[in-house]
Amino acid sequence: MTAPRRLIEADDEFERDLIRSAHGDRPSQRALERLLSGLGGQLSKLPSSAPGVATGGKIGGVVLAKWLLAGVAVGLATIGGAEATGRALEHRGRHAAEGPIPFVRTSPSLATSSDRVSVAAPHEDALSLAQDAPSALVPGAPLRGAASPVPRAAAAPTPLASSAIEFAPPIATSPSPSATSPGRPALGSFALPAVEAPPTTLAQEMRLLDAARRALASGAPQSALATLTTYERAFQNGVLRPEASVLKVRALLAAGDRAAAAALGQQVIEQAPNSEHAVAVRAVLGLRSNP
Amino acid sequence: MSAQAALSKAARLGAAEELDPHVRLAALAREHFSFIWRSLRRLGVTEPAVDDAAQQVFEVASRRLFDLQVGREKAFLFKTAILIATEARRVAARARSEAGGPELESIRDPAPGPEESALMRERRLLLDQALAALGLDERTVFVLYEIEELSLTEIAELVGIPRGTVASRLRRARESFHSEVKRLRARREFPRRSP
Repeated sequence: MTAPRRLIEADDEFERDLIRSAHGDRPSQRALERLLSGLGGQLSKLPSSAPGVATGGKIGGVVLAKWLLAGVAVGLATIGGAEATGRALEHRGRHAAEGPIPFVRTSPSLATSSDRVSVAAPHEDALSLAQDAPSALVPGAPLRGAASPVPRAAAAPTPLASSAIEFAPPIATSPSPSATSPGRPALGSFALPAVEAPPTTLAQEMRLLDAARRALASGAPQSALATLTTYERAFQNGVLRPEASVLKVRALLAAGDRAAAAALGQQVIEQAPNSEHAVAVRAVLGLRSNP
Repeated sequence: MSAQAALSKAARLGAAEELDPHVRLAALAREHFSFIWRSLRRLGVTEPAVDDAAQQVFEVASRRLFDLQVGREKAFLFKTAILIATEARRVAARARSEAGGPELESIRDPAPGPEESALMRERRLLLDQALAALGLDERTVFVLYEIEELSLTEIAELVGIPRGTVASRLRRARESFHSEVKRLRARREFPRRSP
């Protein structure tokens, strides 16, 4: 069975254009940042005793949220520094100047006034969903709101046709973008648990990078470089190493060492040419994007 | 170790438990967000709603993180996206029906961005109108093949159906798409006949 020629390669120019138009439709960087920010809040609700957190449990919910926040902050700072280098990055830089990104529901078309929306499982029109179908979520289990245990035991498949996923509550209905419904935590508000988790390796990484970022933002690139050197010595295989490299490129540039910044930037680009980090480094150094 | 490298390591080990949940989830978001966002759009979620819908998909994943088999994340996310898109379309249809007005997107769509021409936007609107004529199964396969440019085998794995079924759905989807495009085109070229 040979695959048919795709419409984008076919003779009908009109259809080709229609298909091609979809390729320019993509999410904004800010949407991803909001997602990461919101997921930080979600993860902070996971019970530390959940299965699978045996290794992940080293890092409490507080740290998870902070880490994701730090990632966003570092990303934003990186992006902010590239403000003058391109139109797209001007947009991002503008957001960076606005400070931390709260996650807010923005879609009025999905809004309802009820507390819960039942996502009726599609039936005859539906794809046949197999064992890993999301419908295997515990029916009625709240997706948002009060933290619920992670339903590991819920892995058993639930027939889609007879199940419903309830999202509680789905989407803010307030016209105010900053408003959140009472009684439910805002996903991106980072309402941290009362009990502070003990510092972890990742938390230490985050702290160092945050310190470097602040130093750089306050016009002290040498101090930022010193902090980043400390980071590099302490965390040779750090999870946030790519973020650290981007920060260092910025700090080197700010310190006037363009050659070193370019050399390090080149390394970052070569390691992952299509990564966000490579994009950020190119912007910071004023390099052209990949063709 | 980067988040992606950590994910690859876990894949090699074959155990999701090897990963810190935050690393895994962040890696999933970074890797699949764009694909899920685009899929939601082409499955009928309006532009104003798509960010939230994508967020919902990953929230579901965060709840199921410990059950999520390494290597099957994309399929899980995509199937979740189908459910979310179905619900979003239902809500949007209800809102349209209550308002008795035009498509929400047509009245709420922001002005074209600097990088996007009005022409491109119009084409995309036509594309979505043509896609709306397809049933969900056909539309899903069509979007994955024609727009995401996945192979039939990849689609079969992603959706969890035999490759032959993918091919037959694609064939039906194309037939419907062609006739809908023809109809839209005619309407566009001859908008309204004067009485």
